[in-house]
Amino acid sequence: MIASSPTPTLLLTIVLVGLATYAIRASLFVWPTATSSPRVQRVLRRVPAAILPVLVVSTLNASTPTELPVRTLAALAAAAVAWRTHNVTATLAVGMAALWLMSA
Amino acid sequence: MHPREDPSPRDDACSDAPSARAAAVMGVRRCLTLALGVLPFGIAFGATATELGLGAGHSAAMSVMIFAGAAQMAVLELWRAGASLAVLVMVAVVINLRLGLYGGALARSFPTRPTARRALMAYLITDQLFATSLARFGEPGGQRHRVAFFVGGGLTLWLAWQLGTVLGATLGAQAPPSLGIDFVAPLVFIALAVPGLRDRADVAAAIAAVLTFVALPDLPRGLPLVLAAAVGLIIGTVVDTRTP
Repeated sequence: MIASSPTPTLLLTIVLVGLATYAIRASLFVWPTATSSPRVQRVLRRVPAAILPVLVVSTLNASTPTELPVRTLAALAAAAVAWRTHNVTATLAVGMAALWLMSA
Repeated sequence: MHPREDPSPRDDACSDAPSARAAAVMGVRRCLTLALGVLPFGIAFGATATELGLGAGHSAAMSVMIFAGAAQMAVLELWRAGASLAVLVMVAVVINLRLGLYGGALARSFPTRPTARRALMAYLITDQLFATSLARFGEPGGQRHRVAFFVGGGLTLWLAWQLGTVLGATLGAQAPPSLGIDFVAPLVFIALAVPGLRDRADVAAAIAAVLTFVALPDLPRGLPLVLAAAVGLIIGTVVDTRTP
């Protein structure tokens, strides 16, 4: 179903979500006093490990059930390359190449 | 082991980015491939927005105002489903909470910067810029010209997102599905996540977060990520504390 043309609700949503998102981004970054203690820093150091792998799984899960097995294998190949090279371009290239080869 | 435990500025360290300009160029280059990954997202968003009758102007306004792909997509889908204003805003906030943690983790890299400058830089924080900057600042010499690197990389990703939005809104999604362009999304996160696993505590945090995410029942959008991240942070910190 297609909603009616961009309603005031949507425009207001865009503005409010924009302001809220900026506030979230700026909160700990602009006023970092809350994060300066060593204990908090110890927790914040784990942020990449606790979030980025979940984003891998959640974006991979968006595939259809028939795509998922091949995509998981291609993702593992890409992960191996990322592990060995730490190179973004190589990771993307090998991942896409693996997908295309296995889907061919 | 914490190879990147010392985040203090080391301006005397050797560097392959001798000037601010060189550091900015390095930021652009490191984010360029990621920007190629952002582009298809942007196109998908712009095309979806147009499908829903948003028009190129409103789609672009959304990408400039919010500049966060997952949240923008969620807002579109929920708006189509008729969600209320309060639900739309709350879901977007939950999806974007991680950006606050990124800001907190990045803040110590810019301790002496004026508030006004940090306020401008904060707008650029994304998954991609966060991981790229943290990796760069941990390299030998990576402590120099951090602002230039951050802004160079951040603007590159920003431009890619805006360009993708406009392309998608005007041309629509024209890539054949058989190309599997949407597979770029998990690949980008693999490229960011894997090098970030530096020690046992990181690996423990990652496994705990992923297992939590997979095990969670069907919850409102965005919430599983927040819960999984919380469990990952706790487990990672506990393992870190217990590691001699």
